[in-house]
Amino acid sequence: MNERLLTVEDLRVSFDTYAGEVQAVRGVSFHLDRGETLAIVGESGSGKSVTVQTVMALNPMPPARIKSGSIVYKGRELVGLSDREMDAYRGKEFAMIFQDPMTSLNPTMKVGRQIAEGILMHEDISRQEAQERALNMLRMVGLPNPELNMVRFPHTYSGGMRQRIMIAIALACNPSILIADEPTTALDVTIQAQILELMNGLKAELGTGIILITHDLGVVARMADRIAVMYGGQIVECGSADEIFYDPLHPYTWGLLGSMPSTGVRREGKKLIAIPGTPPDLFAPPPGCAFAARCPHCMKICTQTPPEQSVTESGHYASCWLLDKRAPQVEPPEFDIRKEGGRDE
Amino acid sequence: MLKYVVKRFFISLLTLFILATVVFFLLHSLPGDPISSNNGILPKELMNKLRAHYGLDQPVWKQYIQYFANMFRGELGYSLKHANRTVASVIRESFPVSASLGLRGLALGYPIGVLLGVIAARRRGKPADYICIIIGILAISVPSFILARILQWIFSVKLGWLPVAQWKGFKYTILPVFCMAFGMMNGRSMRAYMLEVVSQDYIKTAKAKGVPERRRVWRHMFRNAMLPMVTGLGPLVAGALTGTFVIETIFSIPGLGKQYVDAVKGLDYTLAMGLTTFFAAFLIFANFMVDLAYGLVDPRVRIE
Repeated sequence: MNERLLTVEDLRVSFDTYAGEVQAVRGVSFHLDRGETLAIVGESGSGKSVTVQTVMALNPMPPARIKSGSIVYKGRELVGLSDREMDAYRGKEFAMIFQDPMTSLNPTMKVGRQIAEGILMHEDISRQEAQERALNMLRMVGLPNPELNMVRFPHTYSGGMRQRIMIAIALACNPSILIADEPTTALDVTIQAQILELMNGLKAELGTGIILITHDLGVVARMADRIAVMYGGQIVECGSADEIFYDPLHPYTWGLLGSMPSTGVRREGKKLIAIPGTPPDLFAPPPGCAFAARCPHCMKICTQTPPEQSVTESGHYASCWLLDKRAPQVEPPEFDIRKEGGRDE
Repeated sequence: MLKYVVKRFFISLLTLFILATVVFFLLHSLPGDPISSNNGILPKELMNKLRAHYGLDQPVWKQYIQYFANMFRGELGYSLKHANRTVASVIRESFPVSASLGLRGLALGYPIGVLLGVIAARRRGKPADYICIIIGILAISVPSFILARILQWIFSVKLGWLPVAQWKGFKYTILPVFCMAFGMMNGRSMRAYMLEVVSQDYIKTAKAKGVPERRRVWRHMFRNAMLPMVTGLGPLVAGALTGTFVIETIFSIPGLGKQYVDAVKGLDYTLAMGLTTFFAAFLIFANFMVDLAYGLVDPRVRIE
């Protein structure tokens, strides 16, 4: 079960703009195993989306450019493949669902055809068979009256239904990896739960590895096996869900957890904590730790030299000078984190 | 659907009526009348007799009622300038010529324009893009009378391959049709729509499905970029089919455009009115057809 699907090593991606080079991703490494859900969390502009879109080669190049690093999928290096070569992977080996289901479907194409098109791209089957498969996909994602829905156009659906269709499109070729870029951000909370449930169910059924991008820690708690926290184009902390929620190492992670609203009674009277300041300018990233300017525990070295990774025995790692032997002991603030919803219930 | 068509029909009638009324009074407010150009040629009594014969001695509002009473009976009347010819017969004779010229021009120029737009958008910022843009700018900025003169000089005078003017067979159509078509080879709006579509999420979805570039362009972008283009197609078709004065004059083509300008210049009230009404009716009809066709291209506005 522990089959390694994807290994990303020291990935650096920049965008060349008129104003200069934007270093959107600055040395990101992670991996994904079969049947595992990796959540990438972080605020807007931290490079989450760029990272996964680079894996799928969805960023238009130029202006995007892979400066260095490697992306190895099932033993094959993907960096350097042409767009045409990548077409064989996209949809077949990894698929993606996007944030806004309202704009992610082609408004002039029938739903059934949009699902079947992906299948026809990758498999040598007749149009008839592809339609048949598309119908099964619609059934699988729980659309009522799938036969009727095959010939309907996207505008006749609500957001939740469209996201189901997006999932059907993504999973039509049974990809090994499903990348979900904030799949529930644009949906009602009640629909959110349904979509997450659906994704979890399909993961269990098909053994798909999921990379989930979100800034909603509630969603993370419900879905993730492992969590990577991104900040300023880098992964600042990565570990299992339990490690991140119960034993966070990086001050940014503390900030994230502290700013998570809770419905628990214990929270009453307590203020929601915001992280002061704004994320770093990726035109000119700071020489030291990207979080230094906003970090309550910032030391002199933090602004000068980037911290090294400190790895625990279980593989939980974080990049912070506080973890250095010479650093003063700082106790993380107290959170009343309970894993909400989902898996443990 | 039927309800929609009926409603549109009555709205169109109302539009036509208002338009014809405005044009009627505008025409009649021009100084002079159709007969007065004969000043000094015909004796005064004869001119007054002619005025009385055509009812031009009546107050304008009476002429107006008379004209519209005739129009509701389907009578567009006789031309005041062409001896013994009804307005209807002028239209019957000239319209096919203009329509044939316009259709050919449209069929040749419009697809080329669209194609140039697609190419420009796909090669954005590259030489091909600039070439397409330059062609587009030339297409709308070079007046057809200059292009026509150049073409006539090269292909008729110098090379002697094609006739200079007139409308007597296929050979005669080539130069005017090209002139007409060239004005439509403007791909800049298509380019803009393509560039708008290319950054849409559903194109990313298509890419994420593994749909190759070529198919993305033609199956996903093209159709969606064509939607706003279709809106402009109605007036374009109507304008092309009902004739262009400049091209018809330069090539001596007996089309509607030439008749129209002659009618207004000569204060041929009935002919000018008839042609205006015809042109307006045609424009409204073309727009209506486009609205119906729009539903075919865009499922979101399909009329149930």
